[in-house]
Amino acid sequence: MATLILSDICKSFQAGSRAVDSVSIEVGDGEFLALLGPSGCGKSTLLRMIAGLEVQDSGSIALDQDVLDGVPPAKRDVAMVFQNYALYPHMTVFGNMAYALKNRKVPKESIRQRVLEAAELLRLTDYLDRKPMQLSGGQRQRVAMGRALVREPRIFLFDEPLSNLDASLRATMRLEIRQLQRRLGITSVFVTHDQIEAMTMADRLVVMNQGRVEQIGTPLDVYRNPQTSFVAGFIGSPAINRLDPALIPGLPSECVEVCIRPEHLQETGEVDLGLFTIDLIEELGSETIVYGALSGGHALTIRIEGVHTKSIGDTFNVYCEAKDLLLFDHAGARLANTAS
Amino acid sequence: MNRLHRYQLADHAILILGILFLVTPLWVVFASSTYPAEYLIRHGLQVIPGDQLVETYWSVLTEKKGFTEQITAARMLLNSMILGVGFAIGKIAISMTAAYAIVYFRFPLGTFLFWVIFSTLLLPLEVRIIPSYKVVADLGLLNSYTGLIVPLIASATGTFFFRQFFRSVPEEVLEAAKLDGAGPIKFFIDILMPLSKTMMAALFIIMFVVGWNQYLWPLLMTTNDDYVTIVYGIKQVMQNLDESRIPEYNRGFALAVLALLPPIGIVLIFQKMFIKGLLESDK
Repeated sequence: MATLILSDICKSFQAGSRAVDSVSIEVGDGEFLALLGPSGCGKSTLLRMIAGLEVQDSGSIALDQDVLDGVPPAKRDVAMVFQNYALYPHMTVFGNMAYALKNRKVPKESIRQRVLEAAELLRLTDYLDRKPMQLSGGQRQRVAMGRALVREPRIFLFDEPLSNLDASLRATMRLEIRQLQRRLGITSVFVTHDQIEAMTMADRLVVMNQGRVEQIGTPLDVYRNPQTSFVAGFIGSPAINRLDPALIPGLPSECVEVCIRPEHLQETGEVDLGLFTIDLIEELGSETIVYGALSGGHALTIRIEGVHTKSIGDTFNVYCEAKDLLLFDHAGARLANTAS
Repeated sequence: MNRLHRYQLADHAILILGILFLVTPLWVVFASSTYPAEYLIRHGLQVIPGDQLVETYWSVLTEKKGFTEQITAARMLLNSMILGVGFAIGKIAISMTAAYAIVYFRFPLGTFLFWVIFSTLLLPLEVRIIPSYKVVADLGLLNSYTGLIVPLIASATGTFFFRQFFRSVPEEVLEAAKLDGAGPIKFFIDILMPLSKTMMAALFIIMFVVGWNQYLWPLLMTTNDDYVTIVYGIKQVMQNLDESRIPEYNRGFALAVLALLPPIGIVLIFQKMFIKGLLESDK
C-alpha cells in the first residue's frame, strides 16, 4: 500500500524534443490511475521511469517516504505487467511466478505457498506445470499478473497489458484486473491508448499529449469538462464535434473553437445550428449514430438514444443547449462558457 | 494417379542414386578394411567384406604404431575426441560470452569491435598459422592439449550466431528479469543459457566436426606421437612405403572408418536439436 508522487519529471531522448515534459502526478493509496494518450505521448516512458527501467533527466519519484531516484528496478518494490507479457519461455508457470522470490532468497516453502495462493486467485492452479507456449493469450496475461502479484509489491504498473488480446477477452480481463485491484487495494498505474479501458477501469485519468499532462481527473470529469481542446477531441467516441464559432452568435471574441458532444445535438433547444442533412446512419441498437453536414458543409455527428425513424437524405434543424457548448481559445485552453 | 506414381518413382530413383553416390565409397573402404594388406595389393579394392574384420580393427586399436611406434588408434581417437569436444565447448563458451557483452552492454566501440571480430572470418587458420605457431611456441604450449585447443576457440561465426539470437530475445524479457531481481550473471545463466539450448547444440555439432577434422593445426603444433589425432594418423600408415614394406592399406581403411564413427554419432544424437536450432527458436 503506497502513495506515489512524481514531481516535475522531465526526460528527453533526443536533444530538443522532450518525451516527458515537467510531469507532476500524485497517485493515492490504493488508487487505480490510468495514463491515457496517443502513441508517442510519453506515457510508457513515464511508467518505465517509475519502474526504474529508464532514468529521468530531472525531477523526482517517491513512493511513500522513499525517494526512488537512483534505486535499481529490483529494489523499488514495484511490479510490472508488460504488453507482450515477457514471460520466460523456458520456465513453467510456477517457475515464472517463483523467479523473483527465488532471487530474493525467500525460503522454498514460503515461495510455494505464495505462488499457490496467487495461482488460486488467478485460476491458474491447473496450469502451474505448463510452459507459456502451451497457454492461451488470456492465461499468459494472468501468469504475467501472477508474477507481479507474488512479489507483494507496493505498486503495480501495467503497460498496455490488454492490447494483445481479442475484443471479448479484453472486456473480461478489464473486469478481472479491476476487481482484483480493488480487492487487494494495491496502488496501480495503468498505461493505455484505449479510452474505453481508461474510462472503465480507472479511478482517475491522466490524459497526456506530447509529453505533457493535459488533464487529470475522474473519467466523468474528463469527459464532461475537458480542460483543453486536445482532451475534448481525444476522449469520447464518436469523436466530439468541432464547430466554427461564427455559427453561434454571442460567443466571447477570443474563442476560436467550439466543441459539442454528439449526444448534445438535438431537434429542439436554445441554440439553432442550422439545417442538417443525413449522409450515413449507424444503428447500434441501444443508440444510433447519425453522420451528416450542415447546410454550410460543416460535418456533424449526432448520437441519438435507441432506434429512430430517420433515413439517409432527410433534413432537419439541429439545436443544442448553450451550457453544453465547450469553448476553447487559440492555444487550445478552455474558456468559461458565459451561458452556463 | 499414374502420373503421380511416375513422379514418385523418379523422386525415389534420384534419392537412391544420391545415397549410392555417397555411401558406396564408404562401403568399399569398410569392406576393404576387412582383408589382409597383401590381398588388397594383389586384388585391389573389395566390395564384399572379408574375414579379417575383428583382427584388423583389434590390431589397429591396440597395437602401437606410428612414427615412433608408440601410439594406438584408441589413443588417437581419444586425442581427436579431446580436440573436438574442447574445440566445440571452448568456441561456444567464448562466442556466447562475447555476444552477450556485445548485445547487452553498452561500451565504447562495441559495434566496431563486433565488426572487427567478424572480419576475422576473412583470415582462415592457414593464413595466420605461422604467427599462431610462434605465439603457441613462445607460451611453451607446443605438444599440449591446451596449445592444440585454446588458440582456435575464438570464433567469429559463433559470436555472430549468438549475437543474432540474443538480439531476437524480446527486450521486455530482460526488463522483466531486471524487475525480478536478476543481475547480469543471473540473467545470463537463468534466462539466456536455457533459451540458447538449441543454438548451443547446433553449434556444438558444427564445431565438433570442424575440430575433429583439423589436420594442419595438430600436425604443426605437436611433434610428440602422444598427441596424434586419428585424421593425421591415417596418413602415417603410408610411411611404410618409405621403409620399403607393404603399406598397410587395410589399417588405413580401418582408421578411416573409425575416424568417421564419432562425428556420425554426434550428428545422430544432436540431429533433432540441430535442425530446431537452425530453423526456429522457441521463444
